[in-house]
Amino acid sequence: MRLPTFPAVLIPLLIGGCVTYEKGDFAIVLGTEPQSLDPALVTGVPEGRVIRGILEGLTTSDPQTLEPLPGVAESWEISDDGLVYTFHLREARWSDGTPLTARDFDSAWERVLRPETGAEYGYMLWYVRGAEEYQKGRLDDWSEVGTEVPNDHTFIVTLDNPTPFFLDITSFYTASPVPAHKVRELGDAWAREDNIVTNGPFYLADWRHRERLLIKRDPLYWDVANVRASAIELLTVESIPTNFNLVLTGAAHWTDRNGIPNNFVSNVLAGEASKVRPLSVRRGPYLGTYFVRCNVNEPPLDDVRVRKALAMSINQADITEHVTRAGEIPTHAIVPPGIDGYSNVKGLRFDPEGARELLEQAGYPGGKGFPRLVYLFNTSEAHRGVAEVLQAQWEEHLGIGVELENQEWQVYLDNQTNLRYQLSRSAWIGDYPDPNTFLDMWMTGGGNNRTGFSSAHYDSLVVAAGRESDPVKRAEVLAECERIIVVEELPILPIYHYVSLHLYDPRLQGIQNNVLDKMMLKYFYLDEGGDVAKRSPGLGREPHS
Amino acid sequence: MIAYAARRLLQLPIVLFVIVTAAFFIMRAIPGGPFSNEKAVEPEIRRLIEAKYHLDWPVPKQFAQYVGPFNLDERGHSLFGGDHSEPWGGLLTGDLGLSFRYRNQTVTDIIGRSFPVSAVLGSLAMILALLIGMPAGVIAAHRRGRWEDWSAMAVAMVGICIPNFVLGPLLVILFVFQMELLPVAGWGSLEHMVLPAIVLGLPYAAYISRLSKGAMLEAIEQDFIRTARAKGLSERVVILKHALRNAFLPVLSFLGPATAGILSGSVVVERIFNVPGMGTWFVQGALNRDYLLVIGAVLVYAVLLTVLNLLVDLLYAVVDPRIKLS
Repeated sequence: MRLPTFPAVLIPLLIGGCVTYEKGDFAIVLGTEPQSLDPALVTGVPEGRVIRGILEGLTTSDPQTLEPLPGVAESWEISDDGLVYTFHLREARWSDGTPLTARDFDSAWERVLRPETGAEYGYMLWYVRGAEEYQKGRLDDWSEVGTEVPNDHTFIVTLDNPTPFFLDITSFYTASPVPAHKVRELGDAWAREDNIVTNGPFYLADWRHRERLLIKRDPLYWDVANVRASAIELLTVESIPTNFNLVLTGAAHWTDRNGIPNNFVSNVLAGEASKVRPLSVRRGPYLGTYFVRCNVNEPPLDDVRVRKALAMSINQADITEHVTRAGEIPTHAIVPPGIDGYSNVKGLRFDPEGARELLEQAGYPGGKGFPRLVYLFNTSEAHRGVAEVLQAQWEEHLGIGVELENQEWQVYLDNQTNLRYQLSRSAWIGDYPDPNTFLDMWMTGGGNNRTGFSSAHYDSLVVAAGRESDPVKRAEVLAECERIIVVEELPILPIYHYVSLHLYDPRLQGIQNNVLDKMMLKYFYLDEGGDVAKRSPGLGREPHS
Repeated sequence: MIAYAARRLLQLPIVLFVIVTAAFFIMRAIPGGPFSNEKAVEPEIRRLIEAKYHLDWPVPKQFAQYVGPFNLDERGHSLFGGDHSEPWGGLLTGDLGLSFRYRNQTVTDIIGRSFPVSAVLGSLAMILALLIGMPAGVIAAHRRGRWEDWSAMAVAMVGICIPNFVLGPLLVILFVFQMELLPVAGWGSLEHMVLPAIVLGLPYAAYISRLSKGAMLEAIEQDFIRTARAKGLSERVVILKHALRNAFLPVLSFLGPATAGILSGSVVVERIFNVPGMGTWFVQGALNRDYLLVIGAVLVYAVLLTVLNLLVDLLYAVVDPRIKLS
């Protein structure tokens, strides 16, 4: 046998496989491979991170407080009834030099809402008059939708209801402008890496799929003077340990919670992630809640006393201290803390005594005669850990047996959506910093309800909150909604609120924790020289030596 | 021999058709769908997305559209600009379809990028496996019962038993964190290929050494080896020229499917070292219900397997003149 022919075939292949990479100033771990960079088509976290770096909406957000800041709109006026927003656009350009006008926004929003686009996040724009009808195909004429372009630099939006968080919506990536001149020419292919034209602080310079994206500072960006990084590599990584290793070896300079294996969370928080490399860690509140859905149509869970008993026999701290361990906040509520102008509702506390009484009233004294429940979760070690604690607590405090069943993600989603479950592990991450994003989902028949919970009173309260223009009264109505969910009806059992966690090279500056964990690449830069300890922001932990 | 090869190649389309059909209908039988998401999509919107990708059609019609050659969609898809309402389309025209999840990419884009990566890595690993496995097996057989044999076979046993998800991290600890010789993960330079190629190749090396040892032992018992020795040939010539040729046959038959497997990527190795190869698409594609991507990957694997098996059969005749292909 003559082996040498084999290597001979290989040499050209090897040469083809070796490429020279253009480096960035620094590299951050983005997450999984983005599905697309088209703001109308995507819904994921990694996609959002890139898009916020390369596209800019009418408004942007303060990286710390999320307060709306001027983006392409240099200023705006809101009518007294809170329904009409007039945005005044600055002189801005696309990365190919074409001027950006109000028409780019109008056609981008039209594209998001055009039924054929199939934009999953189209509902983000449904606050605009007629938008929902347009996307659902009940309204054919775009001119009847509440957007208006009186001239190139003015964009007027009319809403159905006063929506206090509308300026957060205009900073959301679904509301980004898209280059009308490119979309006309290329259709959906405008967002392919070789075609894409953008208007943000950076433009896409290179995308090696499932390896990394390279974004570079766009000299045409209006606020380019405040963008300090000249090029950033965004690494796409699937595996958590690999992600962690990249940061430990200095190949990446930043990662979020998804780069910290659960076993190492305590070490990382103690500043002991690496013995050779100084790494900073910072933690912040995050608008996300982990909870259990109850199928309220399914006996015995159709009895609210049973649901309350289940909720009152959960000691959430056991889960956050022993399973998740990243400093998550045990909760009895659904809306996470950290939303301005909203005071949180106190839900049902841990009270095994009271829980047993309720169970007895429901006809199961000491858990006797209680049918066996099945707790459904998607396959993952972390979710199993939580499930086992719940199982043990319900057994201990109520004397009832719960079976654990794990399913592959899509099967689990399918069963949850079609109410083929009894108890099911769930989570919700807020879309914008307002309680509404955690409360309108429980309306009758809502796609994210998935519990069978239905109450005309509740529905009318959510609608009333939407119409209320007085922020104080609105917050009160929303708090009443939350009270119905976590004190009276319990279609869900709250467990904990997430935290955001960043692990990064201490030279990396401009990182902020905000409650949506929105990454604003615009402000990131690597401080090559200088006294690290002195510059390390007060919020974060000091790097250990 | 040419007639034989031609006949085998003619069978290929039938085999592939059966595989594609099975893959298509099996994928569609699994619950869930490419557009199911934790955040629910309004039913109206979901219907529109599904219509865009023809998922609202009866499955057999979707299959007919996928295979082609007729485009059954009167309006045509405009996913990549313009009006694509051509009369022809589908697999028979070389179109592997669109990815449902990576919505600006075609299956051909994705496989065209990832297969070369897996092919380079797989070839390296296979060369490594042969370079280690064959000599180890030959030496073990030649030095049967001595320490060389025991140690080679012990290492081979360990190589077969240690799963790659253990070996990978062990090597990372050793070569990346302790010795700081190699990059921890990534792709693009020779340095990045070393660890993944070792992890991918070692189990194959172990297997090859066991196979070649067994075959070698059998070969050196045979008459023609005794004759060769009786002729006064040196031990070196006897082993390397006469016995090895025979010992290579079982390794050769192993190489067909093994090479197909190694070239189409390994999800574990790709995850550990963040290699953008094709193995991940098999698994991720299935998990995401990215139907056409999975079928595309299966198709590539099927072609590789069939072609490599044919190649092995042809090589038999070259290596062993006793085998006649007819």
